[in-house]
Amino acid sequence: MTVAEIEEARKRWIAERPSFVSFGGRVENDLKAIIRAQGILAEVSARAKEVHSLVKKLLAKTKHTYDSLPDKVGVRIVVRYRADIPILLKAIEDNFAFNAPQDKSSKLGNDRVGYLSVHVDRLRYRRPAAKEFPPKRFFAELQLRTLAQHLWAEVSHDAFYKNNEMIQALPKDLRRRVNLMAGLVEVADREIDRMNSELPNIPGAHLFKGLESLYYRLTAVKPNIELSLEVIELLLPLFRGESEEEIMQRHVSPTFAAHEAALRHVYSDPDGDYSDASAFLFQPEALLLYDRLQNDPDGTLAVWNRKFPPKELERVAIAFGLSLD
Amino acid sequence: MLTNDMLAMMAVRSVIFHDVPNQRGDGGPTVVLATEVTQIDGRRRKLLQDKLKRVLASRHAFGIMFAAETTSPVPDAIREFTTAGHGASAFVDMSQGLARHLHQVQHGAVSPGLLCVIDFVAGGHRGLVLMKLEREEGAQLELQRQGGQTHFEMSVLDNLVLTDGTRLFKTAAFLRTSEKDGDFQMAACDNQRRTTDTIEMARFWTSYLGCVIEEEPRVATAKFFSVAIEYINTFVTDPGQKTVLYESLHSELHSNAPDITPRNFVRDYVPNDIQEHFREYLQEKHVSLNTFPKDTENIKGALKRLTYVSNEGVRVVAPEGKEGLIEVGEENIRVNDRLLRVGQG
Repeated sequence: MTVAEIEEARKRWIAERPSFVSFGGRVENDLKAIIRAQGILAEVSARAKEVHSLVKKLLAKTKHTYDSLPDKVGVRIVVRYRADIPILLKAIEDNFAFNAPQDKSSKLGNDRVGYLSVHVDRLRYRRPAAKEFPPKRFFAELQLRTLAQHLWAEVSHDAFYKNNEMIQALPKDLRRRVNLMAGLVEVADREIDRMNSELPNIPGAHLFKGLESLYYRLTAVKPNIELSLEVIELLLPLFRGESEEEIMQRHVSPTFAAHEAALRHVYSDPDGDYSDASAFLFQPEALLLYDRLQNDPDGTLAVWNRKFPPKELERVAIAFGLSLD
Repeated sequence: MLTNDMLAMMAVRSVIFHDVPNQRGDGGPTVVLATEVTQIDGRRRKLLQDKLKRVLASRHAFGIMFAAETTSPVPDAIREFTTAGHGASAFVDMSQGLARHLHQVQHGAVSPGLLCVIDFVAGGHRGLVLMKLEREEGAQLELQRQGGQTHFEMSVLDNLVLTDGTRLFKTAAFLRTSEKDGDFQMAACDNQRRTTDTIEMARFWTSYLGCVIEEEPRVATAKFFSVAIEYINTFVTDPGQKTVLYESLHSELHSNAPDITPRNFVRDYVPNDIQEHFREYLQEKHVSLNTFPKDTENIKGALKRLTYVSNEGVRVVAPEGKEGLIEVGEENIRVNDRLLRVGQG
């Protein structure tokens, strides 16, 4: 681009950026809703480039013009597990249009390590989903990655080993160390995914996983897993010998499905003020409590009082429109 | 009945209080009407919502419906206000009308107090809550008069509603679920009823509301009795357990308590391992687990005898007051009486 073109791009971006900020905000909110519906915990962020950042990009990537620049708005989704990525891609595809995703690992082949992420170009609304954001003009670049991949991406972003060309230019020993470290991060990423799919044989673990997937459909607030397992263990006898899978299938899932709209409301306070809420509301086992309070309130109260403050159960009940009185 | 889901979604919009003394007919104290709503902050709004959920979802809440024939103006006021498009001044006017009517009918032994009217929404629907609050001794009711307008201060809410341990005695909620006049979810609670109340006193709250209990008490009582007997006969196999349950059921129905709460009956008398199944059975057969007034009119005959059923289906029926003639052992049932006759069918 010529100096005049870059100056023109700067002026246009100053004028147009506010509408792209709105676009990014809308995409972020919609993606959060899509991800929540899958019961997956993820960090979602979207931002329109700062003016200086856009200018830098145009100076560095000379093949792009202002109009063709793919990441004027960048969206990032960070998930915990590799297995979450294809699920989210499918869910996003059901709601947005985009170019074929690029898996950066395939670019590395089988003998190199480094930056891993899935990049999606020209993420845009399908007509007529968002009339105010016509897809020809409003599109974003989406990066979808795991926490481990995010760690590598963040650390390497500002380092001399940001991309393969830069790594190749490093002294031999440093290049080897960079590769070893990238390999370690990838091994950790794969192992985290594997450990998640191989649940330990401890009471409550299977039930916790089932509850967690429903819970993350309602909120992205992280729970305290130790407390979860304690509560689950306390409540299990109320199901009189049913397996954890049976408890999910016969009790929790049907109750959740029957009352999903009300549950969504409970977890979406417009003021975000939960100062009087129970400590147990933002725990996956709140859904187990909900099922038991609906079906066996007296039994639930009796076992609860053996270990936890009655006031907390009362708060959970009231939040769900139930009463222990 | 107002569902738990709707209660979970309840959001209070406006609150107004009116001071309603008793009608004495001698020019005694007159009703003090607020002309403005009481301003409440976000925290109190949430606490109020929680308090209402606690009462209206409790086992003491019961379903009500607008009475077909009533002189109370309350149903029409509720019907009109909950149709779309009524704003703040309509709310104040409507609530004043409700307070005036309460003043007209509230006399004699009915305790005076404040009428609290609450405009709320739930699940996209519009609703109203009516609460009659008793003045707590020593509680300050701060009525503010300014520029010709009057309203009660937020402290009324603190003193009479939100204090820990305060019980909301007379409460009712009406949620319009469609534009049709019959489409309301409603629930009421009247925890102030005493065994010594006259029928008029017992029905004061529903009568003021222009409502009747969703299911006539004699029908609800008979249904609970027959479904409970059906359950015991079908699912309780242990003869000793069966007898204990029959006796508990009869004593519940013979007691002086003015109400029955099936959920409490199950909790107090049914063995732990079948409690959930028993409750489910009652619900399947459309028996409310919540409180309803007891009326044994329809089951007078059935209550006069106690029936024992053996493992093999032998039935022994004892007349009222003669249960002592029957001895139930581990392996046998003994009737301590002489045979009078043998019949068929």
